[in-house]
Amino acid sequence: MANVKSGDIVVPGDPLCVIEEFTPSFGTYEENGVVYAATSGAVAVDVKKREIRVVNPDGSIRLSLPVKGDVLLGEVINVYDQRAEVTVVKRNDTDIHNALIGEVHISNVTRRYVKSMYDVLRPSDIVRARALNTHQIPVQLSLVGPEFGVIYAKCSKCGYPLTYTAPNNLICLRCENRETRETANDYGQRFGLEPRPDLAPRRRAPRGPPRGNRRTRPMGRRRLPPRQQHDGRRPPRGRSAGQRTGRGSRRR
Amino acid sequence: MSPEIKPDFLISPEGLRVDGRRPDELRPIELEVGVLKTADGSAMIKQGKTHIIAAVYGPRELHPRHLTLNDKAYLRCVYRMATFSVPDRKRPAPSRREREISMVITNALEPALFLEEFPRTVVDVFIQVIQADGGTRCAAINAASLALADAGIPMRSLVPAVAVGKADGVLIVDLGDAEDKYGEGDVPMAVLPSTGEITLLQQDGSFTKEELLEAIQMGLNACTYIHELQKDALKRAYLRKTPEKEDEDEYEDDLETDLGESELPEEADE
Repeated sequence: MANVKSGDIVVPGDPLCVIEEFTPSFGTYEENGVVYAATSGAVAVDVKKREIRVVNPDGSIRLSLPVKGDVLLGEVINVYDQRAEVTVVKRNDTDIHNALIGEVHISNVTRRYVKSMYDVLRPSDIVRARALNTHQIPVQLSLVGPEFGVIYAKCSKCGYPLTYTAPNNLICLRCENRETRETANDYGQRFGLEPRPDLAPRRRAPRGPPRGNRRTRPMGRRRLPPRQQHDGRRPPRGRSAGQRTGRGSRRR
Repeated sequence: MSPEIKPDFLISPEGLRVDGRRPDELRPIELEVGVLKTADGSAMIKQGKTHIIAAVYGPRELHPRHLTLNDKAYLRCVYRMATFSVPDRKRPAPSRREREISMVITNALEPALFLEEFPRTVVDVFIQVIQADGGTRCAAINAASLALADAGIPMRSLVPAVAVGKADGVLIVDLGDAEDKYGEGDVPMAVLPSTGEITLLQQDGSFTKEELLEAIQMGLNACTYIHELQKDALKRAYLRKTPEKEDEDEYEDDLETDLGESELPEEADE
């Protein structure tokens, strides 16, 4: 009965073949052993898989929902400990007229261990992500891969755009606040934010003074004393900061 | 059209209707798919003097959230008449009649669609009557099912619809405005042509049992004809897309652009 061949234009309700010939796949449905077209488009027969599908003549799918593998662009609207919500506004570099909700689970952020979602994403970040499921809402997103991740972020303290220093490390040039994100490899380049590798945080010196444990540890945990939060003008690393933390910890 | 006068007879002595049609003749129908740019799917129908545009958005996220269905998509049809679509200005607030016709159209289209493939989403169908001259709900179903197919929503088949009525004791197909107003009744109906299932059947006026059965049979025949027109219109939308590409190629060859420029769009494509 195979009265259609690849490339034929069909409309919904057209009989395509019987179920013994081809398995119904996308854009088709089966009733009483006969496969019918469910959408309009061109017939695509996969002889190897014995599958029959109805898609656009150029092979794409016309539905407005993202399919697996699509590159999506969106803004983070909510961050929870285990997941984050994203409004998707662009799909494969074309605007979506009605934004849809995407969801990033903590396991899909990177291959490495992530303690908390707050370390890798913050609300109002702009992210590029890959869709993990087809024709579903909310769409599951993945940030794994060098070109996926945050491409624009704002300082959580003063709202100034953050500048890239080292992978996953950002700095606010206005208030010198350092933040971490799961950055894409082209972070900020669309927005005119030049990377500043010279501001990259220096490694905590493993070759420090041999018995300086008491000294170095408070330096590593500089954020802990609450007083530190107030003096935003402090240079990122310096003697005075270390001294002050030293005193603070002694007072405790 | 504005001065409303009742015609002296709806069926002339020769057996023809007010606009010169035979009782079983449809008005000329013109269908076009993909008329709107921003909609996911759209269609336009001109059935006599009735002009309707239908637009489909979705499947997309449903707001308000509490309406979401966990096992299938929600079909939301909105039928609206433009203020200038009728001789007397129609008040722009959604009327009771529009709400009812919206619901009737939803119920007529839903059996044709595979909505269970998109749980927790909505498929929005917006139907705007530009000019009304009778039979708007049937024309709206014709246009809406084409727009749904254009949006790529999986469906069993297109849904043709037509109204059958009675004027001066004669059963007539596809009523115009005068026949609707001054006739003895009408039966709008929508059909799934593959199985012959009737998804919409309303009645206004009084019919005997024999008349009703014959009216339904006449409607089914008219629907098969409209279904063919719908299929043609949908296929035309594809055929129109393909030759355009060929034209573009020829155009480029004729122009003899220098190589540097012709390479640019290719790079942009990649």
